[in-house]
Amino acid sequence: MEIIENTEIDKDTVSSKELESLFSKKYNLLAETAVTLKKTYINKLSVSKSMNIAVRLLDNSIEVYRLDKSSLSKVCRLSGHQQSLTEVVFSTKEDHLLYSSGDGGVKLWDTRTSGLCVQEYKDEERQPHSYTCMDVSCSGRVICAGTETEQNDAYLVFWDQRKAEPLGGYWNSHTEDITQVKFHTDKSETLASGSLDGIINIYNIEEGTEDDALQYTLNVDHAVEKLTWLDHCRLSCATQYNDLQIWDTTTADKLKHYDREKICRSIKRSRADECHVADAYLGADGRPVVLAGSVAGDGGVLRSVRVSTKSNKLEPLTNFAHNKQLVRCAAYDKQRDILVTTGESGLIDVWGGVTDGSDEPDEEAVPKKLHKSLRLSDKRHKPY
Amino acid sequence: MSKVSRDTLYECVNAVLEQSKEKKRNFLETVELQIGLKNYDPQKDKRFSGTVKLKYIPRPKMQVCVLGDQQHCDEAKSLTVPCMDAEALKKLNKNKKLVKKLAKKYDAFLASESLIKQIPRLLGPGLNKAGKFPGLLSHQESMTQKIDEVKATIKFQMKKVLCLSVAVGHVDMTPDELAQNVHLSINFLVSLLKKHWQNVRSLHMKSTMGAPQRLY
Repeated sequence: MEIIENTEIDKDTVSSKELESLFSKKYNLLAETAVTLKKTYINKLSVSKSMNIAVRLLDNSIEVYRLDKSSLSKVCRLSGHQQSLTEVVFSTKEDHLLYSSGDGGVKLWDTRTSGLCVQEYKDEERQPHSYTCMDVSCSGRVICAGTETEQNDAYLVFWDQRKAEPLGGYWNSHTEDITQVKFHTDKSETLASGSLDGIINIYNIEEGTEDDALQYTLNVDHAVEKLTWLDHCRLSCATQYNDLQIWDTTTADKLKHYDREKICRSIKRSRADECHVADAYLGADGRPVVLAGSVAGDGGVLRSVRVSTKSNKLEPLTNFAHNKQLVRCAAYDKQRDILVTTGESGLIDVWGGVTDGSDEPDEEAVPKKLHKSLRLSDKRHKPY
Repeated sequence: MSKVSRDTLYECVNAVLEQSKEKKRNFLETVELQIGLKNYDPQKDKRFSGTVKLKYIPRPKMQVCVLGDQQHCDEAKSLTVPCMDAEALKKLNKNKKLVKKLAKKYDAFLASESLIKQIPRLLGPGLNKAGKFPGLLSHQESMTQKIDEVKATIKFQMKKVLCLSVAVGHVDMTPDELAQNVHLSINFLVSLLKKHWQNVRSLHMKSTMGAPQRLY
């Protein structure tokens, strides 16, 4: 009964030719930029409707980039924070950026004034909370931030965007750090929260009390890593166990559950314990897409698979062959068919979908588009 | 490559069990696996978490209550498993004290599909608050099996610090049973870690009142 280390190398389970034909939806790398010369992780990302990209760096600064056709240009930079910035979210008003921090601050910043804090959201009288996550409602009016546990209580604090004083809070529905707070895509009153306790709560915040606001509690069995609203009733949850679940929040039914083993096989890799799930989103055709990869090597293997309508299978969709980093965040724009990814090498990648009709990837176009930004980033991330 | 030899594993297991026999306590001591991590930054690296079912139940005294529909309650009664149906839950009238009392009485809950959706309406967030929101009990699986699964499952949860510990057994187990549970736990933990064994700094085993025994 020895305990042995598994030294088998994680690899593709199909040939590169098969990989090419199975993962048929192609995405070109439209733009790429490295945010600094030093190695940094980008674990927080927010993309606005007009494709402004906000990222949080490890030194607790935030940078905003604008995507112009095929290059990323820096719009502004906010720095000088002592405590860790935990979440970055664009509000509905294009130039407004919100962020939460571990020392009890939630602030609204105008990206045009480059460093000016427009509004600061306070706590109630006692000790400032350590905020771990936050979101703003689709109407832009309500802000909600989740906290770590403080003496067995984990809080959800609410503000009206226009005022500094909180509207109130909930503290009875989670027992461990709240990891995700996500407002519904078009219903301002619907909110989902996820926590390390393995629970997702769905609230209707228009109700007067927490007891009445709590609509459903979904037991996902594992700590919640990422919540994403797919459409008006479906919520996807990627857990810290690297499985992906899709729930119907109007009936509290679990629609899909893909475990790590299944996701690994669907992206055609051999070791399930090297497989990680980055996120899920609704694809252009209305079917959920799961973005996953392997942590092996530089973590560059990144693929997407699509939920099958007829079976419990995940169909191969895209192989992001030019990806070079372990991706931690993704944001997908359905209208433009653009995917933005960020990760552990400090790169912001913008991928554009190649429309069907062309079987071969456009060999001419790809190098030209890449050339400009590759040159820049080559210089930047050679040091490591 | 061997990380922990069979001999080391058994030496450790035996040492822990011996120690507890030398000084008998008036409660059943739990045996824990304590893990020290390295090459991992909780602030920036992706956190991991997972649950695994052990071969032998580590906490035999664990009480599970079934919140069931008619069929499940009938089955529970025949197995002398504590249960409550929708009517019984309604009688609590969302009274916070009563719900809290219920939550305290049992270590874990299982609920039928039809009932689990109604819990917030029937009980409010009381079970959430106690960290005991029920797991799903379907009609497709055996109730005894599911309950045993709940009792035998342990959770690994990465937090902000570089150490964690889980209960893997108790001192009344045989060395074989304890060794098997430890073996399973370690292999599972390593599968959760990004760099697997490169993230493990140390492994220790100890009984509640005993001294830690180094395993790795």
